[in-house]
Amino acid sequence: MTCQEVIEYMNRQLDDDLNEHEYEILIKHTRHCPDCAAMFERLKKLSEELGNLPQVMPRFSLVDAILPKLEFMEPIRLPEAAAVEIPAVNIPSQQSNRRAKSRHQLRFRAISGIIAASVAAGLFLVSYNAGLFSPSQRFSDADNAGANTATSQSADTFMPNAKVQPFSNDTKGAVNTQSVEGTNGTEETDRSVTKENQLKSDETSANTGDSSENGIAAEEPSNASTDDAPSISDPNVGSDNGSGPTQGIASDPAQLEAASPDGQYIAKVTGFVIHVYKSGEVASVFEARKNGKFANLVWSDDNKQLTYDIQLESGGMERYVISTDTMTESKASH
Amino acid sequence: MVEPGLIRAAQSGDRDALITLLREIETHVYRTAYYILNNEQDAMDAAQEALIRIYTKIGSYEEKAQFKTWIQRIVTNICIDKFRRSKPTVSIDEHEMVFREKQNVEDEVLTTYAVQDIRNAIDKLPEHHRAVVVLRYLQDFSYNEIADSLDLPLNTVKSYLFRARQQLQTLLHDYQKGGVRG
Repeated sequence: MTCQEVIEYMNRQLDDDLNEHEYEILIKHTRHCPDCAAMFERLKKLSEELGNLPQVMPRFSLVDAILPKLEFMEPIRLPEAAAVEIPAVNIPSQQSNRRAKSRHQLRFRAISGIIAASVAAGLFLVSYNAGLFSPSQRFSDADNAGANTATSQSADTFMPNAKVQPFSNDTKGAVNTQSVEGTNGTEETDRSVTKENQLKSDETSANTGDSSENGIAAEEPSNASTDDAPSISDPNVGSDNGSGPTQGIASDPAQLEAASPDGQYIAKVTGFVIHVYKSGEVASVFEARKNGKFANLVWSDDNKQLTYDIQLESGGMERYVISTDTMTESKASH
Repeated sequence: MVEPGLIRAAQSGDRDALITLLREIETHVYRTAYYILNNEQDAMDAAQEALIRIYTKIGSYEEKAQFKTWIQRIVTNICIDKFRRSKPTVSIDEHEMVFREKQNVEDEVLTTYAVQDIRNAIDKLPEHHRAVVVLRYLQDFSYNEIADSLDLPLNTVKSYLFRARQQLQTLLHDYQKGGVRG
């Protein structure tokens, strides 16, 4: 055995990696090789010193120091734990036939990201409402719920509505996949009476209150939201909705949040400012301030575009598109 | 080190559990950064960045890996990538003559190296060798744990560690002789 090989044994001995036989070889060699014996002593001493290096502690608590930063960040949770908050949404029956096909496909894509419990909760809600309300009221429901799809509960809450209609020009375009589940029920219950608007809103907020406390209510006037709905086959459907501004579900203006489908980006609204964060980075990669309420943060399927609406005080609505390629924003037509 | 239950709670969205978890690991994270970077302020910065990354990425941790190697991977990556400084390190040459400076071996063995000398010697190692030494001695990691943390093959870990030791003892020997200091 060469000295070089023995030095490897010395090293392994320092790491308690030698078996008895190997240890004997090492000892035998060092007994007859003063150079190696000296080297072994030096390495042993070095190893001991390294093992005795001071167990340094930070001068102050690092966690305390970063807590303020963490306030503005959301941990990316386990996929199965990342529940999509499911709003109560019904869908106008007029649309259902036309869109049935694509819904069928979308359903499977969307469901993969949804926790079973939430589905159950959403289903309950949908079927509950399905039996009570007319199509026009479902519109207002859709308005509310569309705004509520984004909650700050989970950083990677992915937006089911993005799967349905990434670039729709109104809030009903944001009818999300949950509504797909309720379609059958709603089609059969068209002619119910209209008086229960308030009841329905109460019901909705009661059911979504837990999970979407930070959701922003879509309080736009219903006309603004319906007139230019491109996906509605019958233009009169929109004007059926005479119930005025919809009842706010959760008017807490705090936070709205949406992660891109691949989890790379998280868009977060705080007050009148939207930030886009890249996963794992502290500083935002994009920031914009707007003079209105944010709503309907929707990522495109390819993660390249985030579309959102600004509900102006005047009752109008503006739509913006952020491109993640260039991290620039442009105003979209609607 | 960290209770699996705490990790799971943190992963499932329990923010308090996640903060508790960060408190439990912050010293370990800091210690690695401190010895890799050999600078307190840089270590504070790197450790904080690592904790933030752990906070945001907790969901991506999978139990098939050890948690302690997962967090050490994060902090060593940050130290190596973000705080890479263009400073000279000693060359780690496999064929370097091992047996120089034989004289005075006994004197040397009796003396204790100054902690600062050891830190400076570690600082002269190439970054991956440095990281291997730090994980071995400051985190008490096994070869396999070091390999997992640094994403290096097992044999590479051993060869880095062994060569680092020889380099360190040579450097320290030089310091002791009043040679190159600092």
